[in-house]
Amino acid sequence: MVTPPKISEVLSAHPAVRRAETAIVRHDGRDVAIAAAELSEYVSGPILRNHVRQALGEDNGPAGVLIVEHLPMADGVVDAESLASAVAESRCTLFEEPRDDVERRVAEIWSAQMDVRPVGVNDDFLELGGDSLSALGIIAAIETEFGRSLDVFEFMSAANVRRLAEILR
Amino acid sequence: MALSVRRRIADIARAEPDRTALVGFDPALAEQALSWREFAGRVVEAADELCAALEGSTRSCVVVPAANTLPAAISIAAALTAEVPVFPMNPATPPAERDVLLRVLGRRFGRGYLMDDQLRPQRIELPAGPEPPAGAADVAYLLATGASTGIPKISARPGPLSYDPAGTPSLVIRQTGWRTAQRQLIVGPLYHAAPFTAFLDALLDRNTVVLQPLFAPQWTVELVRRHAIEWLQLTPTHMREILRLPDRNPAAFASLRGMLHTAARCEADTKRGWIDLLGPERVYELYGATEGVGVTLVRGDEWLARPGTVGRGFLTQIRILDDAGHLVPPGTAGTVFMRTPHRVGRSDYVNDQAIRTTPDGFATVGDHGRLDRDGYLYLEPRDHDVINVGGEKVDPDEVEAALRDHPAVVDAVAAAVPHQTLGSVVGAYVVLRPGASVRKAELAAHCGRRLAGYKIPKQFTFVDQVPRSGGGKVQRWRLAPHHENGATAP
Repeated sequence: MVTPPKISEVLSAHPAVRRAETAIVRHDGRDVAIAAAELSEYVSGPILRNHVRQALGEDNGPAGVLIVEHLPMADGVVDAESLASAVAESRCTLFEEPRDDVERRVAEIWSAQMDVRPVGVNDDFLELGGDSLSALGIIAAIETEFGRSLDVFEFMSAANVRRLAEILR
Repeated sequence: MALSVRRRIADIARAEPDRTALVGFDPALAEQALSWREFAGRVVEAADELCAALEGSTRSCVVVPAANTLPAAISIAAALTAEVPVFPMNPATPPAERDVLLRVLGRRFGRGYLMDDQLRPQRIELPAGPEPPAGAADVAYLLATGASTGIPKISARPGPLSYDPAGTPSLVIRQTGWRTAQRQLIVGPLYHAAPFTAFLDALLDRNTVVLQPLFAPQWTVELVRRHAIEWLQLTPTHMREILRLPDRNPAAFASLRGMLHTAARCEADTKRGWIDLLGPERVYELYGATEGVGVTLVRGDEWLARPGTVGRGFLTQIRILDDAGHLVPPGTAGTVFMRTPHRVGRSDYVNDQAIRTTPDGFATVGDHGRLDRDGYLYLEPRDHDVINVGGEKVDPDEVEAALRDHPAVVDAVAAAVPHQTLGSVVGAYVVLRPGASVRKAELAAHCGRRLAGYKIPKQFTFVDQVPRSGGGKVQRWRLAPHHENGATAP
């Protein structure tokens, strides 16, 4: 497994990131790497997460990147407690693979229409860079793939792959 | 695949030369129609004349006195075709305010032109700013904002404008009953953001546009019926006055697919009146700042389930933050922050009145509100509008709605009046129905049956009309005895 400093290094090299720190946090009975980033220009957590995964390999990225105003530091190192509570309060989107075929097909459509890879089932459509054009593309592709019409409002309220898959099931 | 405005107008004119593009009225109110061929011809001619006048000078803008007339519509289209930044201005702007606006333009542009009625550009003096105009990003158009605060601001939309079949009009507008090649009536003035942008979308989405030069409720209804109007945007003021017509006939609106209202807040009675008139599925409300920070949309049936809401974010995330910048739970009021993927299209102010943003990309124009558990937004009155009566907060909208409920009252505005012990009390400016008379004590009693004691106006002033912006927002600052910025009351 790649070390937290390596993740922080890749993140800090991103043009929109001013500073980044990574810590290992216990979540749902397992250890996950969570990064916190201070930005000079807005980029979403999932986009930064994917940026690291592309640089370090699929299995080596952080589970989530939390966007903060100031890095939470304690005694010169990033405060893991603070990152853990952000995760616990779902302020940080964690990457999660599709758990069944419907989610997998929906995530695949999102990836193709938005040209973003990977798409986690909890990732927010807008945070992945979705816009009206990709929304229309996804709606059309879903109609073809699932043979069910979807209105824009339904799509917008779903906002992520998991909830959209629930509608389609 | 984006097309220039010039190319798009030419394409439409070639495909459907004889279909009507514009219906307007001359100064004698005689109806005049232009086919797409005629319209495109006049636009190109005016655009070429404009390009010639500019002599290659880059930092120029065009000011169009934008009453709802054919020359104004052609001038706006011509400026967009020539890709020269266009500023639609209220032709009735008082001189002092006009000077402020031109000064603001002068900070950005070296040269200004005014389009006259003959579609000829006339050079106008723009006062030079403290620094030479910056050759920054290109601008498609400029709009005056800040109408309800009295501090003239201009917001600039990056340009040039182009036609993108997937984004013209935006997806959110498509959800409001809009259809390509529809017949649209424009009631609000073209110098106001909502009618102006509806006109641009109409132009690029090959609508037939009917321009109502001045608002008279009976006439609006008649134009909708006679031209079989399919889509319409109104302000709450328009909606209120149409509802007051004695012989409202729902059949006159049979052709309408959607009525959208934006800008000012709409009181519950007026909203219900329109839902009754059209049915809930044809009534849409959009809340969004001119600056393109984000939008919410609500359809009549959703509103009936949650009266007072302005809807859910549309391609927009909403967060309510307290004064310290912390997220507040559902049901708690705070400042409304929004985030949308369309940040590139966000307008920036020509003045330095920037939008407040957060590190994670949310922005606010300073509106207050709360979210319910399902993400529906409810707005609270703006801070500067709330009347503080000895510590009790009074929402002027509530007082105004109570006053308008009186049979003799056509319109009303509530505003703070200084008071020795309470700091301020509620004062009311009231417009009476023609020929009606009512005693102030009776109005106070009428309010007393609807409002708590401290909300009852303690001072009534009868006025001929309430100053409103083109978007229907009350210009409270125009009612104050002394106001800033050198603008004069009408």
